Amino acid sequence: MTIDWWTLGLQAANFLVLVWVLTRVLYRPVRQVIAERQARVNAALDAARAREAAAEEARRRHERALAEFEERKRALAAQAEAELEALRAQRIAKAEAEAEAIREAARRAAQETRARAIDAARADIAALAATLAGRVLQSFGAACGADDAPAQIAAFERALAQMEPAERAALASPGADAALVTARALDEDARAAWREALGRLVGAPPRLTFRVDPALLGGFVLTMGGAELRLAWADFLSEARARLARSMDDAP
Amino acid sequence: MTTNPLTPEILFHLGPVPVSAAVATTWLLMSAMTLTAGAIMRRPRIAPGRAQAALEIVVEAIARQAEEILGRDPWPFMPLLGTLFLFIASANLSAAVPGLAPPTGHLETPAALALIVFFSVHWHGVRARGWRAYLRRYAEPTALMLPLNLLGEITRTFSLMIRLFGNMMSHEFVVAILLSLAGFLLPTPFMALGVLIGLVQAYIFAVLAAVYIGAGLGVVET
Repeated sequence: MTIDWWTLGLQAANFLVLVWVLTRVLYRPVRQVIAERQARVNAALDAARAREAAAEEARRRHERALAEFEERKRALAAQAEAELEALRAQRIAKAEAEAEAIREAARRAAQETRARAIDAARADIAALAATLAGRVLQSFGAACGADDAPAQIAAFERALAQMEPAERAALASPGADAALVTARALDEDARAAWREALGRLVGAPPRLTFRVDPALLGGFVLTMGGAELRLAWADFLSEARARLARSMDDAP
Repeated sequence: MTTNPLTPEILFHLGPVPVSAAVATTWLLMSAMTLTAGAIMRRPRIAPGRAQAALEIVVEAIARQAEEILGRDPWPFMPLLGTLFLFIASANLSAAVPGLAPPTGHLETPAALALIVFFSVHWHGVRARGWRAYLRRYAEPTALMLPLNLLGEITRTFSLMIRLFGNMMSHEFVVAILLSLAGFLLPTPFMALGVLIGLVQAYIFAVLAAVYIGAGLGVVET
């Protein structure tokens, strides 16, 4: 077996030439395009990562803003609650002060009204007392305060004069028994004077009995012929009390 | 008179230089490969067409394989390793073309390629490790191993050459014998098998070259 050295050398040279040529027309362009493609992929990945980072940053900003908003909302709500509470307390205090003022004014007005009513009642009472005193004095005369028989008899005769005829006739029935009640015991002259006065009324002296009732205070009560004539101080005082009570009820 | 089939067939002379059929076929393959690669990669696009994608897939597959063997950036070694695979594959496959004989079926072409691999191993090894460190590895683990290591360097280059030459030459002979004995159609399955053998032999030659270079770099144990 022989070797053709020319062929061997030429093939070696051919291969080296092929290496040189393919380096330029194949390997280098392929490597460049792969590197460029990889660079673009890396750039796209970097851009995607950058966008992801930006999105993450935006999400964090949004969450921070949301948290700040929530915090501000809570602070505002607390502030509004505090202001509302203060306003409510202020208004309650003001209302209580106004109510107290109204109550005080009402109490003062009531006191003034009561004082005026009391004053008016006192005035009425005074007037009534004066009227009653006047009537007592008018009924029993100036001597009525002494409560003596002549004054009582004079009052009896004035009462008779003011009576209706039917009443006077019922009192002056002849033969009837009579009873005279006084606040103090009458002496014999007084009793004689009463017998004489009643005799003048019925034409003959009646059978007259005398009793003493201190509760009458003054004046007398004459019972005769089924009729009764009361001119006792106690009755006048009772009437005065009743009038006074009515005037008190009518007072505002 | 019978002629030795292993003797190169001289087609013509360029002055004193005889041009054999293997050299002429090699020029043809070189032209085809250059024109094809140049046409496809003349304006490479980021979004490649089918031809560019196919070419990129082939180149990337070779680069990935070289990276797995060398354990480093394969692109400085791609001109040698890639061209070894592409040239041997195309030379082996040229047997399927009527009228062409594969250049690797004659001893000179595998010998030339094996010599280039032999010198490339030392060139890359010295560049990567320096003269002293590179030469020191022949005396490891002991100085007694120096003759054996030197012999190994020669024999592995010789085996690289003989493996490719033997496989392709024997395949050529088998196909030729079958063709002369059984007619036209019977050798067809053997020719299809020859395609597979041609690709496998190209792969083996390129991978062994990468392994030898890796050993020279100190990254592969042989």
